[in-house]
Amino acid sequence: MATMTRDKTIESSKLWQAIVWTLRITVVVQCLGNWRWLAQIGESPLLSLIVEPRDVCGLAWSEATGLTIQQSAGWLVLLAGFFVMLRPCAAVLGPLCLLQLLFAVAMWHTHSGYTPQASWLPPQFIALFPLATQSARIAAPLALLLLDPWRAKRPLSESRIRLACHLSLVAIALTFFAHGIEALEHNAEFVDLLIVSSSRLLGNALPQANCETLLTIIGGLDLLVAVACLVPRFRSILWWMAFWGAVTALSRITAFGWESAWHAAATRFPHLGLPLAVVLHWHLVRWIPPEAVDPTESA
Amino acid sequence: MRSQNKQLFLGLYALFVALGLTPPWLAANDSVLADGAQPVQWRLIWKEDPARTATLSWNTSAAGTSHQVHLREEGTDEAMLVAAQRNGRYTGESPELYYHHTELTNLKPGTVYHVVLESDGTKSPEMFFVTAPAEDVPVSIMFGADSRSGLEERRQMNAMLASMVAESYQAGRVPILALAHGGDYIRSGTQLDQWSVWMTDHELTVGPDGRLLPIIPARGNHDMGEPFNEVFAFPAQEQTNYYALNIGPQVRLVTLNTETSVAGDQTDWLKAELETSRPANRWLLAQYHKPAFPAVKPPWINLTHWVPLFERYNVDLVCEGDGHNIKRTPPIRNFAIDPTGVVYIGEGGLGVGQRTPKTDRWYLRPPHAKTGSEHHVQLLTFDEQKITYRVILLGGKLFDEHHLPARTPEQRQAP
Repeated sequence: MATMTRDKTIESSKLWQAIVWTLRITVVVQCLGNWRWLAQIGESPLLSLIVEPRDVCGLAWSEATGLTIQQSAGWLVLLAGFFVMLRPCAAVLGPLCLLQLLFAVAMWHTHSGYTPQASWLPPQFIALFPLATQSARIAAPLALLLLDPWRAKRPLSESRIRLACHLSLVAIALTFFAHGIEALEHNAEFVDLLIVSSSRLLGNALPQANCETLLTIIGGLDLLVAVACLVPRFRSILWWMAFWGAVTALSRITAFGWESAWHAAATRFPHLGLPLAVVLHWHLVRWIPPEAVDPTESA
Repeated sequence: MRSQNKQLFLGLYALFVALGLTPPWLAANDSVLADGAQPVQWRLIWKEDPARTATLSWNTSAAGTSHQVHLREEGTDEAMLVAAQRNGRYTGESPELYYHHTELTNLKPGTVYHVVLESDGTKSPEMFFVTAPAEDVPVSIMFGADSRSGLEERRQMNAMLASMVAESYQAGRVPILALAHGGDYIRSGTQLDQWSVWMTDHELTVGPDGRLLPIIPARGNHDMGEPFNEVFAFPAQEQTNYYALNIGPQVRLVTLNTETSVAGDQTDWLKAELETSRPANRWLLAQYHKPAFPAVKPPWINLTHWVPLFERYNVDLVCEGDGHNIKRTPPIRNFAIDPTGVVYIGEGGLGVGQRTPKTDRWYLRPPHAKTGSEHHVQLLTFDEQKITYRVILLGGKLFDEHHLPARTPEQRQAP
């Protein structure tokens, strides 16, 4: 009974609404980015997976079919984003989550994305790297599906909320860990992001060597917070992750301009939204009135 | 609620498995290697001064202890022994494969050299190659890219390249000296089994008379990982992979790398290189993988960093890969068609399935541009007055022919 009270307290709080809306906005922005990517720019790992021949693990469908599927997926994603804004439901969030998963699988199969230079790792594990880099993008609609399901019995069970939180945390940690590896290895795209952004924002391009030193620091920090967010639950770490997720997403725009790169920032919105949702939840748990806590839990 | 969660995850798991398709590590692998120290998978690599140097590389499936090249200049009887300077095991577990690189130096320009590769007493067939000329004579090179899939087409293309080279040495023809490869040799650069198949297939570029076709390699986005350096004899852990060389005294080819930082040191290097090489060469070319003026995909960051330099230093021709189609743009300057501008060609068709060029892009509209979607190689012939650009389709059909006049002496001066 006390647990039920606690759950009701959680879901009736403004902070709970803030968490849910953080996730909803995250998924909507992600949808906008994916729409632009799939329907307008038109080159994605999904298309590669569809048109690549079978000898390289593709489906060997025609380019016209691939483009039609990709375009249709783009417009459906836009529609899904609209529904998420109105009223998220499993029928929309499930496919969105699967689409993100499909992107990662397509990147894995077509060897898109960054290849870590870890020669000590078997190549098949290196090929799976996109699943880590994409994990926050996969987890955002899934977390929303768990926390804000339409027509589910209310209040939501504590185990369900805990599952959403744990899943989000693992996804954030994986994302930061993978990007930390890329930064430590001085991923050329990151180097160029720093060079071009510094040139545009400061008027002077940072030398490549300085950018690489910066990336070593950034990479180390990413790995540190990826581990720290899982072990001792310091809220400040998640605030930092949300801030850094926003900075890195926006760096696409500062480097390449709004028109060319807003979709790249939008698809990375979960790097900001997911840690923000989790840290808000931690604040919420901390702020629940003592009378709402199940006395048997502390025992 | 627990059962709902369980259903959700079971559903996700089932879909994930359904999406799995063919696991990448079960993809086609038909690399057949000879046992032990038998030299196989030979290739001749040009990275410096091809009139006087070349790198001859081969593989064995055992480490061996003694690896050398028997080098004989045509017209002489005495062969010189040159020991392989770099030997080692390729990065990657399977197959067990060892590389052997021999830097040949102090060669004579425009000279035929006969070579036999030897590992622990086991010899290859005799082959030969020709160094680049020292005189300003007409020469040809081929440009191609993207041989990472369509393995049967790749083999057919390689056989066609060997025929084209053999024919080019007939009297009255301009000899084809090398193949500039714009990258994406294989699907996954970290997987040695795919490199092994590629190297075996590359042997098909050797003519029936044993003529080796030198390769000038650029790195593509699918060629990430250490094996690229090991296949093409770059220093270990090399990330830059950009360089320039002269094919004859008047043709300068700059090979760039779109897979490392574009905006950083490479752009500084390119500026310095173009400043020096523009006044010294009648023909100035660049090759790299990801296109600045793509026919299918969005432009890469080199559009903002390299294109202004190409235009400033009046580069004659730029060869690009990655798009899987045939492309020739009009001369471009300041994002407009301009007779003094730079022509961009290529996009890759050495095996990979072909895409449909987006001819609604301003730089791809006929009649100023020409595009297509068939397996092909681009043949570039340089003489005193012009570059003759031809696209040869798999099967030998001529798809496109275009002539680029030489820049005026004023245009060749560095600004």
